[in-house]
Amino acid sequence: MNTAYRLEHVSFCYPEQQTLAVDCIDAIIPLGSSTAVIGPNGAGKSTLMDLLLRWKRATSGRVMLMDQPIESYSKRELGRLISLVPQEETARFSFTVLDYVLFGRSAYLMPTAAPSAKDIEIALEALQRTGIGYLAHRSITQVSGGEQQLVLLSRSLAQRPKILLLDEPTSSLDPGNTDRVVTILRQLKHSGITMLFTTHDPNLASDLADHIIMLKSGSVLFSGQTEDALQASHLSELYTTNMIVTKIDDKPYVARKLTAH
Amino acid sequence: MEIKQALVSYRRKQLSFRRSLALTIVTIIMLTLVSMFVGRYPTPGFSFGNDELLQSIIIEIRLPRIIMAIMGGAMLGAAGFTFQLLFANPLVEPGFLGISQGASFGAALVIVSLGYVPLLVQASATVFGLSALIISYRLARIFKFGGWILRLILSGIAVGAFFSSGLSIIKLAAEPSSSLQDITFWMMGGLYNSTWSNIYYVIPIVLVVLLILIAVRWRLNVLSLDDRIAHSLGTSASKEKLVLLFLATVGTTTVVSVSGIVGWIGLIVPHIARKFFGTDARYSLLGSMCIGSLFMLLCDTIARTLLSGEIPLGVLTSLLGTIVFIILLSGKRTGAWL
Repeated sequence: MNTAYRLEHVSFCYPEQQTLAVDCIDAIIPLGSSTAVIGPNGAGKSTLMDLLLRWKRATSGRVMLMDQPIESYSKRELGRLISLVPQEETARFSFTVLDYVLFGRSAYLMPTAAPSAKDIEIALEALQRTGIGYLAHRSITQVSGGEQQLVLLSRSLAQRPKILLLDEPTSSLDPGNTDRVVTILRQLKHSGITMLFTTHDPNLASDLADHIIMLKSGSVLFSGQTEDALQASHLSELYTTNMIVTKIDDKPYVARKLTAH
Repeated sequence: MEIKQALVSYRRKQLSFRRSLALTIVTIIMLTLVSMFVGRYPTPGFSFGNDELLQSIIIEIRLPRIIMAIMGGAMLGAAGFTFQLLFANPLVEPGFLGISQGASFGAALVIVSLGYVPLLVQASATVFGLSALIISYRLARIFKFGGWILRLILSGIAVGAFFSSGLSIIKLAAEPSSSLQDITFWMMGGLYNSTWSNIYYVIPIVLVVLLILIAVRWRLNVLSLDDRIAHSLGTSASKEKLVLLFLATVGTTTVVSVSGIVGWIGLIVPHIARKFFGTDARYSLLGSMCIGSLFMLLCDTIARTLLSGEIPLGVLTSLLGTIVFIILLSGKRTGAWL
């Protein structure tokens, strides 16, 4: 069992729409790997995430999770295997940060159970790992956007998943907070967790991903090792604009080519 | 080291919530004792004695009423709390999906056609309250406008308005000297119908619903998150929400069928509970129940003793509720609940 996910001709069509949001995708996500899904707006990145989460079910094709059809898992089992870090989340009630991170333990608790001392310890450990232990008793509605992203990441860590799905993990963060999140994700990657994230920033992919899947109009435009994927030609075709690639610290660095006035 | 400290302060906070709960329960018990001995017999005000008639008044009239106030307040508080969490909207209460209006319509229908037959009024209120929930839910599924919560609110408004206009038509047809009065009193709410023979079936239903809600109260927290997030955390969010919504509705209509419309408890009590017991439903749901009981018992005791005639309970809860609401809203902001 070496694959986290295997997608076999996976398509998805929204009800009452003509075009496929995800069009016959084949892909393999190895266990322990880090994969970036990049592509322009509306390319099908979010739909693909929802399929991997089983929040949506493929209209045709099969999503295999750990070599078994994803449908064969119970919701609790899924919750223990996969965790999602959403792009952002609106907190409607002023739970404490610790309460919020404890929600990550739901998949391990019966509906009638409450978190045990062990669960609380796991949650506090997760908060320490992301460096926001000092926020534990603060209200979730009173933390900054950057801190909130770290809270959501902590909740996912408390979930102790094998696979971590991240929806645009740094898109709403300033450079300082981006760096904090990237550092934590790099540590996670070294700890052997399977990571899959969508991003609009090819440089985040360059920084963190082993593999890149380029999505355009629901189909895979290119898929392969990060170094092979991040070529000016691929990127220019993907984003339909001129992109340039240089190297910084031996890693591809992508920029949009500025047009002359 | 830091983990240990955080754990200690977490425990300390839980302990203080438990203390507040204990304090509220003690207050309810004290108010119960007071309430048993105040009334208009033998003289207006507080009275003890070996008087046999007084004893039977206490046991046959005041006690079932007190029990109904405690159970009803707890149920309305818990239902409002559950609705607010499940709809992730702090302004929601059971009236919001047209449930109260449906229940009123059901009750009025029986009063007009068959007269005030308690058990039938109660059954009809429950059936129509539940129908309102189901219709609202189905309509929200059909609507093509806005997100899920907005669609539910819109369909709730439509269903509520539908049953309200139905009620107006029934009132037109009602006999002014008898059934119109019954309907009007029922709409204003009151516990004057709470005799042992009227509430014997309310107690087990409300108890079962409350016990289930208490059992799953930590889970309620998780279900307040967006459905997609709750799903990713390993819950069957939509199914679990539906079951809990159904239970809260049955509990509410069961109480309302005896008490009539008692407004504001479901809306205001959860806010007060969150203020004193924190946001975690493990404490604030219990807090909501206790404060609901306390509030309803207090209002009912005032309703039956303050004036020589009975003040409708719904009028009192609305009046006091509005005052508390305004004080709460003009006080220091405590979070994102509004």
